[in-house]
This record gives sequence, C-alpha cells and structure tokens, in this order.
Amino acid sequence: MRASPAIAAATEIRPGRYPDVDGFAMQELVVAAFLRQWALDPSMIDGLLISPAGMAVGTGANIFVHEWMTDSLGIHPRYALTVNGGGATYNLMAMRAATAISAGLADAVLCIGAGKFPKVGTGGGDAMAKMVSNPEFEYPYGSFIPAMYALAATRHMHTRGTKREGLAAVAVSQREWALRHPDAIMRDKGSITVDDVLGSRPIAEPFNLLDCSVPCEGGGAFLVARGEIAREIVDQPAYVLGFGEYHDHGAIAQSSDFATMGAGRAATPAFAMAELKTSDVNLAELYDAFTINPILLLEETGLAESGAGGRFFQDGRGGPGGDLPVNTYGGLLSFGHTGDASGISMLIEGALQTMGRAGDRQVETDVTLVHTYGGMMADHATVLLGRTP
Amino acid sequence: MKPIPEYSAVTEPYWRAAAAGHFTLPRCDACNHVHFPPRRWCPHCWTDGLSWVEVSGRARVLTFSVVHQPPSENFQVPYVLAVVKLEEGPQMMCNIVGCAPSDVVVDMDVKVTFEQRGEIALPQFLPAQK
Repeated sequence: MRASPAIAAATEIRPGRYPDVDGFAMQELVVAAFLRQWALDPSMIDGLLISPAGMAVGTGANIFVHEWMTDSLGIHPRYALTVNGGGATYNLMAMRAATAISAGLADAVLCIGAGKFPKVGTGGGDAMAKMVSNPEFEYPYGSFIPAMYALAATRHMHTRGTKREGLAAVAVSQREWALRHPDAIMRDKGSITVDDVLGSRPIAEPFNLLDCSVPCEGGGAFLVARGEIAREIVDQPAYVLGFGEYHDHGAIAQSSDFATMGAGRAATPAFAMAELKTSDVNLAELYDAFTINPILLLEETGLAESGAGGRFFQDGRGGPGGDLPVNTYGGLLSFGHTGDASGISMLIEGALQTMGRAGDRQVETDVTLVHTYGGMMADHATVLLGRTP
Repeated sequence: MKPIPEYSAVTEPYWRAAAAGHFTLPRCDACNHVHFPPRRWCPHCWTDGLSWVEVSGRARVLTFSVVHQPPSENFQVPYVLAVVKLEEGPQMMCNIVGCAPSDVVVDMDVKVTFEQRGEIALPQFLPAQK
C-alpha cells in the first residue's frame, strides 16, 4: 500500500472485571495503559478511531466518544470517527486507518476500544438477546446468543460433515495457548480435553459450556502509522498488507448461508490486495465467540479445505507446535471475551506476533491473517499483516 | 410470560392476519417477490407497491438448535430455535413445536401453526403431515 501503513504500537489490558469503571472511563483506562507502555509524543497523533462506550451492557451506549477522547488526549486530529461494526470494529478501524494514511488524510491513527460484558446469570443474556435479535421477529422465539451461533454450527455440521469432537478440539487447542499467555483469564484452569468439553453443561446444541467464550471486560489500543513513522517507534512494525470486508445480513435469520456466513467474501479481496496466497499465511487469529467460529473461518478464509476445519484442530495443527497456529493468545474461549472490545484481542495478538513481541507464545510468522466478524456473524473483516511492506 | 411482539404500522397487517389464523406476507406488485420481515419497500427491486397475500405455510428447516439454558425464566427448556425457509422463499426464525426436540433434523418439512400469546398469535412451525 502507498505510505506502507503499519501497526507500530499495541496494548491490551488484562481481561477481567472492572466494576467501578464504566463507559468512557473504561476507554480512558485502556488509553492510560497504552500511553504508559509506549510513551508517544502527542504531536504525532493526527487520527483517532474509537468504538462507542458501554454498548454491550444494555444501558445505552455513548456514541460521542471520539469528541470526548479528543479532549482527553489534548489533540486536534485531522481524521477522527466513532466506529462500530460489533466484533469487526477493530479490523474495520485498522482498514480505515490504513486507507486514510494511504490517501494522505492522516499520518498516525490511534485506534481504541474498551468493552464491558454483563455477568452470566444477571439478566445480561436476555439484555444481549434483545440487542442482537430482531425485536419483533426473532426475540419472541427465545433467540439468544449461544443458540444463534448454534444455528451456524448445526448447518456447518450438516453440510460439511463437521464432527462434534472437532468443535471441542477448538476449545482444547485454545486452552493450550491460554496457558502461555500471562493475562489469559483461563490460564490457571489448566489444560482441558475433548471429553471435558463434551461433558460440560449443555447450553444450546451442539454447544456445551466449554464451547462458549468467557464473558469479561477489558480493551486495548493500537496505533496505525505511515511506514517511516512506524519504524521510528519500533524496529519491526506489523505492516498492513491487505484487507477486505463484507456485510452479509442484519438479523441472523436472513443469513445468505448458515454454513459460511459469507466470511470468505472478506478474505478474497484481502489476499488480492496483498498479492498473497493462502499458503503464505503462517498464523491465523480468528474471532471465536464459540467453537464453530474458528472452524468456519479457517475454511472460509481458505486456510483449510471445506469440511476440514474440525479435523484440523483435532490433529493439533492450530495448537502449540502446529503447522498453522490459530488464536495464539487463547482466543475469546480461554483468554476472555471482553464484551464489545473482544474484536481487538485477535488484531492486537496478530500485530504483536508479527512484530515479534509475543513473549512465551511467540511463533514464527511473516504473514498473519486476522479475521473478525460483528453482529451475528454479519459484518466480516479480514486483515493481512506482515513483517515486510 | 414469553415476550409478546410489539408491532408497527408496517407490520400490523401481518399480526392482524395471524390473529385470524392466516399466514400472510407482503408480495411486490412489480417483481412478485414475497419478502419477510415486512418492509416499507420490496428489498428485491426497491419499489413500494406491495400487496398482502396468504402464503402456503409450508417450509423447510434450514438449521436449528435445541436450547438447554434459557435466556430468561420466561422460556422453559428444552425448546427448539430454528430458521426455516418458506416455500415462497423468505427465511424466518421460529420454534419447531409439536414434536420432541430430538426429532428435529435439518431439511425436515414443516408447516405453520399459531401460538397464542395474549392478543398475539405467533407463527410457529410443526412437522408437516406425511
């Protein structure tokens, strides 16, 4: 890309519970951690993208966030917007930041997200169901998030032969990665087996409890900058090589194909833009609210053959030591699902891995694919990151 | 009490017909597409001449989940959350009723029935008679 936009800095706070911090204050908590780690010069930031604050708690979101953050940071950006695409928000931010930098609209765009998530058993599931369902034509039928994702799993299993054990193997693989991440919420819970997943409490068939991500709170921030600015900040930034997006539906009942959810239509243009092949990818970070998602996304991005995604995880190929590591931070399943900020986790992990800053879980990667989706697998965004522009 | 849908001027004919035992959807006067949920315009050709027509009520299960943990105390588990494809084309969410949850399979043929909730009759689907 023109101007070689790259992720030059990225910070994620520890996932957990932040009971006394809400809405915009949560965004500021995240930014404070980012600024502390990276010690940037305020004058270099001329772009700002940020997600709405307090979206997932059902009490009403603050959508005037980039204006507020402009004051907090004491900057006067020439490019700024509050961005929402659900879990796809942060890939969409990275894409828009890279586009703006390429077009000369900004030199360094700070991207921010923080998320809250209602605790299980506090009526939060019902509040979330109301938010993500068509209130008149879905919610009355008892739509709620695990069951709605199960619709994709059932169809995938039916049309592609994905096995129940394949779903479980995703949770097993990602727990192994979480054991290597100091901040992962399930780090202290130890390894799990396929039988553990199959024996956990049924939620919505085919999902049991261990097929579901862990609700928590957190967030992160990352900086996308022109190549030469990025290289002033770090020796090895994560260059944005290509990206694509696709928006399939609104309400999940209107999905064009439950076995694919349209995800491949975001990946294909990303590879074309980057002039890369699927075989060039060394690492994949795939949004994983439930165990079906990495399987479906691995197949739809072309990293596994159609119907082979479950077997891929059963064979250990996505785990530590595997030939194509997937969700090296533990994923939303074992790192934690930080509410509306969840989509930033896989982008930050993809960037840190590509920059060589992933500590004990570092893998070798020249090209990293990050795919996130928003809504009920409605908004799809694929970003390819690399070590050379 | 399970949730009772709140309707708008655009969707009111759908619910009025359902209350009288009729399953009706808007059909485009220009391109003949039947669509769901009811909109102000045809989502296929964007013209706004629409007529309500009674549809067959026949459908096929695209996908489903047997729910074991209810989203709220308003729902008794297990229940089947499904998306069906109507013979006329549109897809809709529903519950599969009138059979054991374990009897539901992808691609099974179903037909519309109505579940009374207060003043509302909610379209649902049950296995089609052979």
